[in-house]
Amino acid sequence: MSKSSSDKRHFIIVAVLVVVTTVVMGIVLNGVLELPVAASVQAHTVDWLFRVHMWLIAFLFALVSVFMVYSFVVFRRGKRQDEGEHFEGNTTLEILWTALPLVAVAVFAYIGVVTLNTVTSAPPDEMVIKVEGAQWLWNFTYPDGTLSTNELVVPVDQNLTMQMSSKDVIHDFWVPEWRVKEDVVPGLTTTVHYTTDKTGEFDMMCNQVCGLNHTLMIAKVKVVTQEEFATWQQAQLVKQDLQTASR
Amino acid sequence: MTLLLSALVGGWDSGWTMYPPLSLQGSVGYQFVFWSVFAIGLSSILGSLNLIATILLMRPKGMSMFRMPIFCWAVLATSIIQLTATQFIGIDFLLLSFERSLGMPIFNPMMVEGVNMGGEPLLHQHLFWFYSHPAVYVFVLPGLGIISELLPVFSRKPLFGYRWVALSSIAIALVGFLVWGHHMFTSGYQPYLRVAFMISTLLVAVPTGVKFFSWLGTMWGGRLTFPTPMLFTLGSISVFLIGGLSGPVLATTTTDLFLHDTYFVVGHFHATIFGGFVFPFFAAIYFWYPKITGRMYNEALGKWHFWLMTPAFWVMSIGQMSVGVMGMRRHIADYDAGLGIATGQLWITLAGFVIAFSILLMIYNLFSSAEVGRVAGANPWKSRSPEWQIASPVPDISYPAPIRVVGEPYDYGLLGSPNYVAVGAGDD
Amino acid sequence: MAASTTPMKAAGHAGAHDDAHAPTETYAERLRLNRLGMWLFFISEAFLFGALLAARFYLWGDTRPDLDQVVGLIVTSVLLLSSASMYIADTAAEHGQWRVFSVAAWITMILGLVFLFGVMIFEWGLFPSIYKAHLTPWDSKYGAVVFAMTGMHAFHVITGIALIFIMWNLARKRRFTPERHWGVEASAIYWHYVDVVWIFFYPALYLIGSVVHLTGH
Repeated sequence: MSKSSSDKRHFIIVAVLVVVTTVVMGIVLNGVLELPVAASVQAHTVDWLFRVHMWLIAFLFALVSVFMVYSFVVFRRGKRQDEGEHFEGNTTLEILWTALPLVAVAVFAYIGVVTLNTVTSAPPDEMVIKVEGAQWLWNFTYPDGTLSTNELVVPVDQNLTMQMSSKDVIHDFWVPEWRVKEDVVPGLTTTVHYTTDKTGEFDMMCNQVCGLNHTLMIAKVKVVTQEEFATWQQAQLVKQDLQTASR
Repeated sequence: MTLLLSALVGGWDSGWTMYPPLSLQGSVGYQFVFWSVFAIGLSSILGSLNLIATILLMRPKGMSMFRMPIFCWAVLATSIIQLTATQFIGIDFLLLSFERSLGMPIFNPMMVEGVNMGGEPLLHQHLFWFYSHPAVYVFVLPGLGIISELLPVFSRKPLFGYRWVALSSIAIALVGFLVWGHHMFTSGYQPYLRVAFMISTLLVAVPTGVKFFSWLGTMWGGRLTFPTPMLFTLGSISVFLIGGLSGPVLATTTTDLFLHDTYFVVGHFHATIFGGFVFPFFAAIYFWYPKITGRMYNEALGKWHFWLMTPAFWVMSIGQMSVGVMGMRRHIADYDAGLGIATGQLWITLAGFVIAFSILLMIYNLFSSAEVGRVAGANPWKSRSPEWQIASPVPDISYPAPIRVVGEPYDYGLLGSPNYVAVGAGDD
Repeated sequence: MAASTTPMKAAGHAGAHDDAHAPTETYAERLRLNRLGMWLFFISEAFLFGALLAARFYLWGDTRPDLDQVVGLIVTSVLLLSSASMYIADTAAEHGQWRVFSVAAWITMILGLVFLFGVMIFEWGLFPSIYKAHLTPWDSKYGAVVFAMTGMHAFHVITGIALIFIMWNLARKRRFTPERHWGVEASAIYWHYVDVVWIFFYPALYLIGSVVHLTGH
């Protein structure tokens, strides 16, 4: 085969290899990086975009690595004693590979803004739960006055808004299965919205270093049916009344 | 020194970002950390001032800005960041130190009748990241400069698109000033900032892409050889590629709301820093070793180092990303066994030990070859750069007479092109 | 911070002693390098003061504490006047009029000290027997930011005065000539720079935003 670097055959082979590698890499990446169960409506949007990004990564990885490895094989010096071909650059190419990424950035920024809006906007008929982070526990206050510590019980198929504040240092509200996280900052009230769509038990972990027991600052999250939720709330209120009475 | 002292008097337990209020309530060790950062910052500012002045005014005759070795451009871009952004972390840590010692409420809120008369914790994050994001480029830009410097030598071809590579360094440095907010996507700041910082952060991909494509252009049609420095250069590109490509998914706020502060970020950061700094650093050590000592390092050991370290690094980096998406948080040493990431963690740890072992090989290589290595001669790589035109190791007086730059730094493969520098032609 | 090192190092070079690349370097080249270094240093310092301004606007927004407007106006005018006298001193050095230089330098230093004591007495309340200031650094974000900003600025004023004093002393020993007086030039630029910083600080502290009356201490 001709060794001249501008030979068309080089580019045809590389193009085919890039396509093949992209497909293989895309499948491998999406296989290796398995996400936790998606248990909120927001999680599905995040996951979709995550997968799109994995395919973008696969393509760009293929583009760069195929060209690189192809050069190793075809343009290695071997027994030849001459120097490389002398060309110092190509302005058209440079402009092209500045402009195309700019377009890609614009596209991805647009997708980013739209999806960001979906996962952060307040849904209607929400249940507002007040969350207070403290070293090293979580307190939850429900709209009807139910209190709970380190255990967040919520009904399934329900729009939730967490209204969060901190007693001392910065904490962070994160349920991996719900994807979206937000810091809990002293002096501020931050909010985060979820729509639950799957029952189950998850962990809600503090994800902003908050001192000695940061790692253990985990609250149980139980997503239950509407009936179970009503029962739990009732029981919780009774317990609270008993406590106030005994004081 | 003060940083080490800090460990003795209680250390600091907030991670390296030192977010208040946590950093204001721990042991007195924090004060030492604040002062040491302040002192290092000062030296960094003065050093960068020196480098910029040298690059702008002290080039030899005939060396226009676009005839400098490409590494100088990287240093210039780096110095611009150090000169300016460092002041922000200086003020930040000075104020933290005052708040700890005098109780000046700058970062800690103080509620008086429902109104905050005290400070704001987020101010620290703004001041901190305004420096600390560009600081990453302080690591990475010189590394990318080394890649651009070494590729032409081992491809026997000119650097593809010199001007574009040079200016992309400056572009990365400047865009770097506008992206600090992506460290704060989940911090609770104003929602519109999320959009602004998402767009500015995605923009970093453009000049970085220019570099990658220019490197490919440099290799295309070359005559590639693969001694250890070239292997590490190519290793840099492959690792930095992993780091770079895992960037946009983090830059996009939507996905970052999930990935923020997980091990995915740790994996991304390791890949950028190893690809952009550690691998090029090793490439540079092996490349300039004969110039420094006058002897060649042991090529076989160098190759062992590379072939142990690079695959191990891929395992580590991709492993970190994978446990990250499964729910591993960053900044913690212990994890919940229920996450199902024990196997992944084991692989990461093993890979870490392999990397450490390979670096021990390098250290042994460097020390032993200084004694027994083959004598290298002035220019073992047949480079055109000026430092290779004089004896190895470099004599006390580099040139007997003033020099003049008469050629291009990377004019490989062109018959009859003039040398890069000529000695003794100091006057016009 | 580095306030004192750069200009002083530069002043040392005006006396032209040992240097690695001395043989090929002329005074003009050295001067060019010094000037560039000085301006790079100013760019760097701009970010230092910029960070403080950023903190002020972040924490205060469109509010400000109730500072004494008369004091603010007087110290600001004094500082602006000192810039004028420093200009006279610099011009005098250029023309070799060392008596004029010396008088103008002293006026500058005295005005600088007046500014400094104005801030210390009336804003910081360091001498409660003369004047009881109502702001403390620890009671609220207002006091904290006022002290941080004026403190950092005052530190630069002090180094500025020290520099001018050193230059006056060197001039007294006939170390400068009209052609070679980089040290004087550097301290003059530095003084003007410190002045310009105050031109940004003054409105940020005294003028912008609505007054918040602090209660409860």
